[in-house]
Amino acid sequence: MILDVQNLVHRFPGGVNAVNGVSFSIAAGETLGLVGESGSGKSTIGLLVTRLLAPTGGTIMFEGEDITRLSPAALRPLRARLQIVFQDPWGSLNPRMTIGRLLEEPLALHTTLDGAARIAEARRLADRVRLPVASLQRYPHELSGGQLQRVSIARAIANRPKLVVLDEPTSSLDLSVRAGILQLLDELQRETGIAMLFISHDLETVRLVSHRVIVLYLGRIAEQGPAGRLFDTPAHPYTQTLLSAHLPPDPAVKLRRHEVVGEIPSPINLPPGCFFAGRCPLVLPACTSAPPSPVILDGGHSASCLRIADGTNILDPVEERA
Amino acid sequence: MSTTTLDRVIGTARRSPTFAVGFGVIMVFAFLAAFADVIAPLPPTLSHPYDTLRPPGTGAFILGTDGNGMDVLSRVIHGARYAFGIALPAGAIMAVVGIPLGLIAGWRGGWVDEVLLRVLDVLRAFPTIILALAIVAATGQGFLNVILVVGFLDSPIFARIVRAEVLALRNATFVRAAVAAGNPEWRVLLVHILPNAILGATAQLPLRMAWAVRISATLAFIGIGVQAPAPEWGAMIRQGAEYVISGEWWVALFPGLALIALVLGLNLTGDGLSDLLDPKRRATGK
Amino acid sequence: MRLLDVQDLHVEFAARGLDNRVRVARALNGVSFTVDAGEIVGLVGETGAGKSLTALAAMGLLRAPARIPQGGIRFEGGDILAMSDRQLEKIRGRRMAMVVQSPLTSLDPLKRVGDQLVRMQRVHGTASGAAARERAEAMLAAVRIPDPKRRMQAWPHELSGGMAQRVLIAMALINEPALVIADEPTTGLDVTVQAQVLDTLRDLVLARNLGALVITHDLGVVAHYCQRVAVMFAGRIVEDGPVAEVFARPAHPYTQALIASTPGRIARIGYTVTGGTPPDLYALPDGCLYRDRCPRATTACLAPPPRVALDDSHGAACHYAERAA
Repeated sequence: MILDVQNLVHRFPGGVNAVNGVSFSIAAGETLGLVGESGSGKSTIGLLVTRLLAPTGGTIMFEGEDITRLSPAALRPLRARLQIVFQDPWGSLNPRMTIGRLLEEPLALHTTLDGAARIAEARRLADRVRLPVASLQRYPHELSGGQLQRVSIARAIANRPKLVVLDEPTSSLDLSVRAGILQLLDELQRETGIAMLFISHDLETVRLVSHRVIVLYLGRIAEQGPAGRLFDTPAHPYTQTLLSAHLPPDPAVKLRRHEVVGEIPSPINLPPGCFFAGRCPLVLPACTSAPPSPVILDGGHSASCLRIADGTNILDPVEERA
Repeated sequence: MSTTTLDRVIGTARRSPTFAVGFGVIMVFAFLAAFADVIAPLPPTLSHPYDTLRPPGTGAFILGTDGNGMDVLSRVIHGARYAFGIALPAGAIMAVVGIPLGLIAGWRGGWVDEVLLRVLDVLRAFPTIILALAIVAATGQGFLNVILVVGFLDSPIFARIVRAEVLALRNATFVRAAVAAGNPEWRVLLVHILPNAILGATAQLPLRMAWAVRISATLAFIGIGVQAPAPEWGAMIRQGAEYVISGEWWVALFPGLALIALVLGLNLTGDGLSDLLDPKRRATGK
Repeated sequence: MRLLDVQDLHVEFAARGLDNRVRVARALNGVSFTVDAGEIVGLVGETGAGKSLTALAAMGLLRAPARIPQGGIRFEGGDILAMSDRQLEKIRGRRMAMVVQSPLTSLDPLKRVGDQLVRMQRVHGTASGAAARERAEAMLAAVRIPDPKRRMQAWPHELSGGMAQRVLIAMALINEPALVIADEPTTGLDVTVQAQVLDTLRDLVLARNLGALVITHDLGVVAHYCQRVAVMFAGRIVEDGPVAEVFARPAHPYTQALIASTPGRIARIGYTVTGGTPPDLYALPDGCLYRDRCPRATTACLAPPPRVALDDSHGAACHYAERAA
């Protein structure tokens, strides 16, 4: 395993429980999708895994090494192999550095290449992510969002990382630009076997790029499994609700809507049982007493819902619309 | 399409007339200060005992003479040297002391930040002029002391400006990305944060220099720091104030006008700079 | 008579660059579409396509440095471009209303929700006093805000994003306008909330026989909430028609590329589209604006493409669009 996370917990100052006991692992060449709505803790997990934040609890093993408590200085050499790409392409690059310098930076930090070799390597990187060579002399504000995101990706892959966390990498981009970025990521993974943690609220994109998917609700895993299985046969009522609210960009697809009441509970005062119990149409008395354990379904698919035991976990469609 | 320097100058002026006017005023005074010996019709401290308190336009005394019979115009021109002599080194002290302080306070927080904030509280509570007066009185008169006092007194304010910029940048995604890339802390600070923080602080520097000019003139006016007959505007105003009641208004008025003009020029430059440096306004067509 | 009739609308901006040269950005280059009562029209496109600008123009909200060198906007038969500010103020918020993207910044933070709804009616003289409060409460109920009586007293900051967006819809509809323009009404909301807000908007628009223009970059919103769609690219409408028709048989290469870029389509047919940057609005070429990115472009595309009618209601601005047999 490239990454192995056990019982990850993070509580922000002020008492916000962002991550509440999450375990997962990622193998080489694999893309794990992390989906959830705002407040699900998905971006926090990305920051914890790359140790840009120090977790409150749990362990993070990266390539067999426990990095949970490493100091910033001890983390630095490791960062060559553990990378992250952020959502906002316009804000992710130092506005006062040229693209060329931005691409050389990770090489200067982690290799012994001299100036000329770095420039050559920066050109090769630009070429790899299909940036025009002329853009190396430009500043970030002179490039489009899609091009900037290619720069961020090029920086991330500069030192042949083992794991790249992608935190909503296409969410700020236009549809036709998105496809190009997703294609690039796909190619890079096929070429080098990078493991990827793909964080997104966009269900369709996650389904497209991920081998396995985790559905988060309030910093806890509601359901996880192979992408196809999870999307085709969602077991947790929350996953069913989430998927049914999605609007596929095709009027021929019929919507099957499951509406839920209420809003996501406060992450400051967490309910004792299942976090979804307060909104779940299928709630049982037992749901509010203790958090449900994951129930293993077939093919590596599991969901944390008491209803699964007797097969009454499937919501009825509230309405059907053409 | 090539862009000439002239095009750029005109472009800048069009986008911020405030900056253009302010900078123009500063340039005029800088020119006066640099070539005061050539431009001033008479030596600034040359006394004409038979021509005291002559009104403007008397013979060669275009702006008249003061109580010592010294040429007011020449003294106003030479006064620009004192103004820049204060503003430039004081500005340099603010930058040299304030930028590292603000950088550390904003990035690390902790005791540096606490001390900085408490010093600012004290400065805010105290009328600055009284503080400056006390320090100059304690450390001794003299031009160098005034420069040091003015520079150091304003350093915390400048530090706060840098601190605010750093605080905003600390959570910027590109700073996070710089850490994620494996930059050591010093490099994050110096390569990624500093150049971006400095930009906003730059616009504040002329404003703080205007303050330095004003406060040093005030000190001289109350008799601290530069002493008459040195051609310092504040000292000249002090000298001229005595004659205003008896009708010899020109002795105080012209150095006063020069002071106002330079302070205004510096302030306009500062305001114009913040407009020009604002990335939102820098973009065209938006 | 059409409710909203935009014909050949052009909008340009003059801006002075760093080099002091005045350059003209041609932001809209001949936009034509209509909205009738009882229909929801989607205006879809990517960043910089001119969607929001079109909405602002329709509301009569364009100000210098924007100029309208050409084109017309008629609302309920009246010429928006010829109206004075005073006349426009009487229409906006009364006959046509707008729902914008950021609900929390669009509500007055210092006024209770109920007071804002009452004020909206008083300003336009549609109701006042107890009658206005009653209508405000009914409107909150209509946008499915639970416990509307209590919510009348709520401050904007007490509302969640979804609730705030519902309040904005209530504000827009309180004076019973004939047309609602919704600019990215659910961008930034979570999926589950988005669906609920859009359901509310659609149900109200259709039940009250209003016309609605929904501006979005999200093909999913168009696919499930609009009857007709107009696809914008570089300040032009490149394709328009009934939603089912346009999605099933997209005729313009740009529309085809958009649909081929959706993840579901990529999963089935792979990556086929290479994205590109939109043309520089400061230096627009003559002819078809999409031709630099278009796989089918030929020398014919150096001439401006006409709108080819594919059938009675479906058209595309492409030399190679073909009328269905």
